[in-house]
Amino acid sequence: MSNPKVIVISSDDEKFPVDPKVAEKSLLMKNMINDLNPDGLQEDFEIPTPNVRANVLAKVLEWCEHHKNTIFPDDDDEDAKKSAPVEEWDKNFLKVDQEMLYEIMLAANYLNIRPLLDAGCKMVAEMIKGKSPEELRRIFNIVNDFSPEEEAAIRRENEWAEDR
Amino acid sequence: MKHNNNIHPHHPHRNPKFAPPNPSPLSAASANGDKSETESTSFSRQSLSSKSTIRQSTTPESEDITNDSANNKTTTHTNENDTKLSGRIRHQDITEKDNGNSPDYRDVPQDFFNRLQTFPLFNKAPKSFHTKVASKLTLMQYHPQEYIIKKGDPSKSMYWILKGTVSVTSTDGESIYAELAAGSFFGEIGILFNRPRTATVVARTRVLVGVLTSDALNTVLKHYPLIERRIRDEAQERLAMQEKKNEYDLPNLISTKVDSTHNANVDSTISIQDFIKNLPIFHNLPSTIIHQLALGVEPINFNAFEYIIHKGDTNSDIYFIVNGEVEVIDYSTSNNDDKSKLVEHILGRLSSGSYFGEMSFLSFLNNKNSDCVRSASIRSISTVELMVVKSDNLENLCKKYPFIVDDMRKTAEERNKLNSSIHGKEEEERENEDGKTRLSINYLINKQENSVASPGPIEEVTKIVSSPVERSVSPTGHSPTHTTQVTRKRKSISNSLLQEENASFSLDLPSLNPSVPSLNSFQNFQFGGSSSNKSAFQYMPHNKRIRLASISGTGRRRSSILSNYGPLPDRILLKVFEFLTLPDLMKLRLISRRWRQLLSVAPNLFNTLDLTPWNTTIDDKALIAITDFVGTRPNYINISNCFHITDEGFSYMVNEIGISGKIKVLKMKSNWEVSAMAIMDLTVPSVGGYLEEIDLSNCRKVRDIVVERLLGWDTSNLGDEQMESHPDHPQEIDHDLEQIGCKNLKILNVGYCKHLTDNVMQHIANHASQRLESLDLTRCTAITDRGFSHWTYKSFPNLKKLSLKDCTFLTDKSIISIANSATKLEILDLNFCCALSDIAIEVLCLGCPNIRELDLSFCGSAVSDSSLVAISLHLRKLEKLILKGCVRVTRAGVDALLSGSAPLNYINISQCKNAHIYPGMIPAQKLNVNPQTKSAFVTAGPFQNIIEIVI
Repeated sequence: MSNPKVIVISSDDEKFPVDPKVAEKSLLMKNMINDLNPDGLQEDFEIPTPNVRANVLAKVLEWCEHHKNTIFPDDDDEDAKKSAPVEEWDKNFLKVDQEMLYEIMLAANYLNIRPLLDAGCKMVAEMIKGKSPEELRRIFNIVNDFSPEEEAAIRRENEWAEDR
Repeated sequence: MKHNNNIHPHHPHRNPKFAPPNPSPLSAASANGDKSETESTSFSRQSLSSKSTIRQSTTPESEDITNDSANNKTTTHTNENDTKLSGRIRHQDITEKDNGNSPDYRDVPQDFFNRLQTFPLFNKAPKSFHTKVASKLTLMQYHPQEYIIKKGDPSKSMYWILKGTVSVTSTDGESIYAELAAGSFFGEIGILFNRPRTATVVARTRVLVGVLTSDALNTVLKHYPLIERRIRDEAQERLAMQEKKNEYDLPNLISTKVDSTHNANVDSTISIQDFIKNLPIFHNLPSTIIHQLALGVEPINFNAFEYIIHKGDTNSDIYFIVNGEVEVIDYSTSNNDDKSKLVEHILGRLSSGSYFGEMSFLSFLNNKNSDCVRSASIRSISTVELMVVKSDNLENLCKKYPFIVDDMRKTAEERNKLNSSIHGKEEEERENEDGKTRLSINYLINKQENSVASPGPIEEVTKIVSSPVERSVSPTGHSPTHTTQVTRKRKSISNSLLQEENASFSLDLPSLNPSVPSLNSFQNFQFGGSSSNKSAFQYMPHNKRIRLASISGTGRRRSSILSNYGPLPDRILLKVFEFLTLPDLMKLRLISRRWRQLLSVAPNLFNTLDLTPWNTTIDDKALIAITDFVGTRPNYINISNCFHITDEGFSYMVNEIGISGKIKVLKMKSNWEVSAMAIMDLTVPSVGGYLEEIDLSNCRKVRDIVVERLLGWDTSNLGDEQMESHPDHPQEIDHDLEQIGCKNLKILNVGYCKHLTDNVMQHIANHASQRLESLDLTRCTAITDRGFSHWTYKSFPNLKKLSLKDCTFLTDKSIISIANSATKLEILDLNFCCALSDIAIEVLCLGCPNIRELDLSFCGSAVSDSSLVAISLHLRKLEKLILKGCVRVTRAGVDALLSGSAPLNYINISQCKNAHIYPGMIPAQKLNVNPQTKSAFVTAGPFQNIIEIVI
């Protein structure tokens, strides 16, 4: 038999066989693989991901496949991480509808794929930047629960921030 | 009799000579102190009662003010007036008697008088009472380290601190519970209850205190029986509380945070009686019974996310929130027959000043045995401090005084009636008139509830979202209608993934829009008990209070039903926030209450506060707004080049963040409007105690005293210090000052502070030599060799980095001092120290063998080929050497460096016009220079390391 595969199973029971190297982009899966196969992977290994739907899982694994050889900078280097722009490929990859983007982020969070989650967060941050509260509420489907007085009070406190 | 006249505020012929408007406390104190401020020895411990017993004569303004405040404070105004009147008549008699004994009256310092009035135990007493107490005070002065009271000693007096600081310590003096500053008082428990001292108090600085003996107090109190009763009751309650706290091993009251403006004893601002009276059913009870109740109150603390009351429990303790927030939770089962599924409804949240649990007591009143079942659960949101009135305590009282039961029952009924008419539409449990309806709700405790619940206050659990429409309309909304609607509202996106993660999120439901008006009306509703009385309580550090108030908004938050969250769970939203800038985040507060709360409590969001990107637009107003927003979170603050900031904004920020937070790094380069006084706010240990690094470069108002106080006084070598007395400020080295300063400060940048003198260098040598790690004295041109001479015999074992850039007057002597003391130096910048000679380099080579980076630019007279040979021989760790503009350097010197044993990787010989020839004008081999970077790379040395040479 050739190289054993990791078979990731979505919440709706769809199976995605991938290279272990791809699966290991997810720290959760990596730990699982290593913990349950102390002698290395001998045969196909199934990992259920009951929180991730098939279409989301497909996207996430696509990302892992693309980045299987990418070496990401250390988590500790907060500043570098923050200032670095989103990679062009990631940007295009994450150009999906909002709901999908959120689900990818949730999945990345669950599967512990830091760089993907960061990229998603940066995309959302980009989305937020420069928008008015009204626009943002529309985007995020949030109801304004402030009274007009409260809102005015916050706006007063925000005077400095408003022009930035 | 003239003096006597002065006592009377309303006397028409007040002699202005006796009423100077608001004498400053200091001058007054020193006047009272018989001008002995400086001759402290003769003055010490000498009771000055005979000379300085004082009558307060009031100016018309202050009379008005005090009257006003008295009116505000008192609920029983008429009573007060009576007391006042009778008090005054007696007062006169006494005064005449007193006049015989001590005829020399002067004014009580106004601020002292104010302090008496703000003393919590006295603050409800009439002014005449204060005047009388003030007249009984004597002044005492104590030296540093002198015991003022000792634990276990009999108590004879209580004390107000007028000047200086004292420590409350353990008996052995080993551990300090608290520091009390001017304005605080201590010793009141002792004299009110005639019991031995409960703690030891030692003077930290020279201290001036006002002393009130118990005899004197009793003499005064005799004439104010009502006040005496109240003072004793209140003090007794506090004592009981404190003892219980000790017993429960809760944090000692005294050791809690020192509220710098007022008093360390946090409890002293709480009136337990006020709490109890706050509750309508107790409102009409006679004060003796309230006092009994108050004595039985017990303190309880809960951590975040703990259940205080479970729905269905059967007891009827009543809780008051002193500090923190709780949420009210109800449960119901979802409708789809899945019995294990427990639906949690958050009915609201309560913050400090509120109470809960009284409903079951009311039902207990109505029906003695059966109905004391909790109708909802209470869970803590943050750490909460509660006071609890135990039900058995209440029951005992009811047994003892049966008549109060009727009384309370009547009140309860009235209240219920009132509630039902006013708040008939609100279905909230508290306002519901019929406890039984509420109890009929199906109740099913899921064993898994704890595992379902997520641990943090931020991530509230909202497993199923219900609509607010029926909530605000139907008073019996807990019934099945409620739950049928629930399932319908769930959208496909809320798949198992989201649920399993316990994420708090809500769903985008277009159908919810119609409910917005009703929602608003719901928010504006404030229920009587807690909100109206909120202002009466002040027991939280005020920044915390502001924060909590801003989170909870008006009264209680509505249930977490509507989509004020957005599609992302908090945890991920917070990650998104990390990628946004400060102004963006401030603006995001406008999105919804939920977002605002997240932004103001998320713990890691603003650990670093860097305002440099907006330096030109930051002024005081902006800085204050930003401080209010970020709260106490920042520990790294960079306001460099925010040159519009003045004292107002700076002090606000430093105090707000410093007192409750931990400022570790403060960079304030070029904040040149900030005055020395404002910077010295940091020298209060409670503000700047955590400070490790400060950058004061180009703060033009920095003077010696600022740096000296920032570094503080190291008392371990007090002996030395007194010998070398300070030439210019002889009195500065004082015991007073040992408590001042940032004990952890080890990185100091005072570049361009041209006012700094050699005295600072002496201070650094005496008090910071051990801890200093980095010192930047760039262009401190007033510092001379004499300053460094103080360094010679000190050791700076941790000093790694020293910059003396542009200190053009320093000569070899300074370098000799440095080489003697700072032997561990790794980075040294001597750029433009033109007065140095070759000797300096040789001394450095021998004294500081650990140097890794050395900048000798434009030290033309110091750097020669021979000094470079010395460097190459001795500085075995040198990696980087900058020799810009050193014209005596020739290729011979460069060769010596290249063939040396140091792990060099960078040499800068730009503007060294002779570096390309050998001595005697012999041309050298040309270096292969990259014309763009103007640098050449050569491989040299025994290790063949690659060296970049900048030409």
